[in-house]
Amino acid sequence: MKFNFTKLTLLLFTCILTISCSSNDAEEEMITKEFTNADFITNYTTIAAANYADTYNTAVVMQTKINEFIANPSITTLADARKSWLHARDFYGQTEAYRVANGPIDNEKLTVAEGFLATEGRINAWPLDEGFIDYVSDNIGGNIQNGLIGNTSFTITADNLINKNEDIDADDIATGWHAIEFLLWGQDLNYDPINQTTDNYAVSGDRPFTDYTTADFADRRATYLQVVTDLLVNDLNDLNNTWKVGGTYRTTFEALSEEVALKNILNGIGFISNGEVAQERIYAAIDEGQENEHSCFSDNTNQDMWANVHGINNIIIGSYTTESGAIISGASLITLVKQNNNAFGTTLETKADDTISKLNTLLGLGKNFDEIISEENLTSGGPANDLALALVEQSHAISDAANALGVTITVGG
Amino acid sequence: MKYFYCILIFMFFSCNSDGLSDEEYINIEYELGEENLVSELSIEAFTAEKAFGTSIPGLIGLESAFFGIGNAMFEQSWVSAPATTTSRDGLGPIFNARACASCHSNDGRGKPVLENNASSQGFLIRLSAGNDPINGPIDFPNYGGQLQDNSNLGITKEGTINVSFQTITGTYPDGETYELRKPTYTIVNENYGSLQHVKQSARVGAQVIGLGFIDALSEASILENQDINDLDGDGISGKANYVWNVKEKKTTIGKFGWKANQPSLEQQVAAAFSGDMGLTTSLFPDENCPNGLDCSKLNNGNNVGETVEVTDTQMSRIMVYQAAISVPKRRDYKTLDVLEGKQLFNDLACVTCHVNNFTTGNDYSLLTQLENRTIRPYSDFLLHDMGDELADNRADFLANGNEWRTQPLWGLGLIETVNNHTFLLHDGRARNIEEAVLWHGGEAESAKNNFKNLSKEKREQVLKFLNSL
Repeated sequence: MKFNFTKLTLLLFTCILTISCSSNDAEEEMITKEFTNADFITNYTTIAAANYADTYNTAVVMQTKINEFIANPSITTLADARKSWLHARDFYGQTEAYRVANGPIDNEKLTVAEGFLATEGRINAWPLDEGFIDYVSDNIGGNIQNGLIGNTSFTITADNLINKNEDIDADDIATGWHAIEFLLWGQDLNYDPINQTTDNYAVSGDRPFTDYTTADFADRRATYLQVVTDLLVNDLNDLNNTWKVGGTYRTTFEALSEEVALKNILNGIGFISNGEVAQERIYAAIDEGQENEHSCFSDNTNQDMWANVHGINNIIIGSYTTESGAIISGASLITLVKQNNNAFGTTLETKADDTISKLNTLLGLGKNFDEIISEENLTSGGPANDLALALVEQSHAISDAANALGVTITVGG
Repeated sequence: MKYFYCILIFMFFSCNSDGLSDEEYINIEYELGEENLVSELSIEAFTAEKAFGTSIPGLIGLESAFFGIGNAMFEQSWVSAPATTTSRDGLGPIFNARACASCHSNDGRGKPVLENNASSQGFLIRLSAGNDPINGPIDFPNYGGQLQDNSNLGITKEGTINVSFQTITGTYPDGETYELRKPTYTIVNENYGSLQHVKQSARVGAQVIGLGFIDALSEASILENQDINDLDGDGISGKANYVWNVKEKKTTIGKFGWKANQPSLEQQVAAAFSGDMGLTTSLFPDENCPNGLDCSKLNNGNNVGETVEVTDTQMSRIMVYQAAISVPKRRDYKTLDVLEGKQLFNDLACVTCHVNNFTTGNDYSLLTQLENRTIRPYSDFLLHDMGDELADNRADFLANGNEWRTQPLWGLGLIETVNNHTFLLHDGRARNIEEAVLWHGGEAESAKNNFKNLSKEKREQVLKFLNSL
């Protein structure tokens, strides 16, 4: 055992100071505060639980519609299945605000007793290499089948697909929302049959229902769709249960110190705002085109943006509108921060409002996301660039807000 | 509580007590900020997926966008040309992997091939016919500089990798036994002629954290630790590798790669595009073409108006991404065992090569935020003879068959979290950190023996320290 004399002397000096100066516990003036940290943390928990419950319930509806489609493939049943996927996505997209927050969805370090799930990668991984799952266009009017559906030596089970997920290459994604999306919509080739060009952004993927009746591997395709749908619903059920009152992770979360809970909450929304949505979902799509579009088969990306932006905003304003239309409202981050640092709180409010306004501009264009990004580059400005920049600035405001509350977070990619 | 320490300290001074309490020891041994391996630009690992893939704080303007775009590029698979995904085609004709992330999953560490003909996840075999100190390893006829064991449809891959293991047993002075596993890789189904007399050496991909900081190190700061003739007599020499710098058209100091055979981050990345994925760049514009094929007749992934598959624009994005990835803060750094382990790491002289104090240079235009930063890479970036047992007998510029670059240890304890395995060393032969230490020989022989001579408890403390990095 060695000791460092200098440090010891310093410590000694500190001790003498501590002992000689009478320790004044600064008497804090009692300021009436609208919200405490605990109020904010509790409201976050309530919102997260409600959001996961909505996600699970809408996914169950989707599962029912997909079951009906598989049992009786037709134009109508396919349209209904697609509609139910789109509706459920609105709620899942909002839950992305709870990622990168040391929560059950992606924290590998939790124990099962603490609520370990870490299922994010198989729930929402993207972009996927669709050719890994099923046939894709060969660009000369035909198709190529190199996917798992066409590989009859591969038995389609949930376990086998989970093992295949991200097996070798990062985008060899076999499961989750986007796998289901591809199986319902097929590739979006933006094909214009009249001019025979590929810049008709108004069209989306349009897989024929006959892929599930008369096409090659129809039965395997149906099995695949069934397996990935059931797996997703199970995973969402786990998340719903663990966040419920008395749920495993809910209990873990409620036992965290205020400081840790705040850090987790704010790191999540700061990161999703900047590193995930702005950097990876908008900038990458602007710079490199449609293969970086989040929901590229269904052209639901504008709505993904809506859900992601509102998921973050729910926490900032402390309010969430449930599927039934009821509003859960409580302590807002803006008010909480203003109580500690009025300037940071005001900036957060401004940046959050600006993000919503830029989102509304993008949604108001009446164009699909793939068309919007086709008209922009990184230095052109435009609605997609504006939204990304607003999200980045919002993340910096969240970072300052965290500092005002005494914690540090990482908002980058 | 503070009073309690103080009373204790006074007791210590006044009574000359023969030991400190654990808490005092921690307070004394802990250096403020030692958990931050890249000073104030360190980040906290919030998820396994992002532990090795999070940017430094404070990216400005388009840097944020470039980081996100580079990240997407790193993750996504390239496909053979032509394809609808025009910005992601051009793979091959022969290749090892379809995506950067295939070898650096979650920006992390590759896995060795453990059974015959297994698909690799971040493993390859370098090949050469010999070495030239100026121009580096000499391409092996028909095969080039590495074995591509994958290919586009209709193209023959170069060969298949088989592996066999030999067990080496050893004993600690305290009687505890251990086993090391030495792999021998054999190339079978050689499809482009015989590989007789080839010099070969296996490699796994390393985590890609803190690379910008290494890129920003000045040559002088690395040379400061060089001691080729062991003038200080500590049994450790340390020699810089000097390698061909394609962009500068001259020989410059090597910093990257297991043998310090790449002079810059840009060349490292471009060489990986070329060798591992069959993608052309301005730096390496020639298609990596299998013998007997006319690659000019094959489809390439060049878009209209471009002469290479990975454009300068795309390179600029991925360079910001690779340079801006931060290094995660250490964990458990303020615990007794880890701090005891840190002291042992110093006492055993591990720190002589695994240097924990550098300051980056002042002219890093790619990302000026990285300039003049104090970093703790736990590497000297120099070549050391690591003994015959670890030797690959394949020279690489100034590195001989026994010499390896000191591997930076930052991120070491997170590899398991990020990649679900603990394989280490250039070919992944060590199955955990302890085995990696035991593989040390040559200049590190006495440090290793010092480690072996420790009690079990103290050995565990060293490993806990290493895991905290």
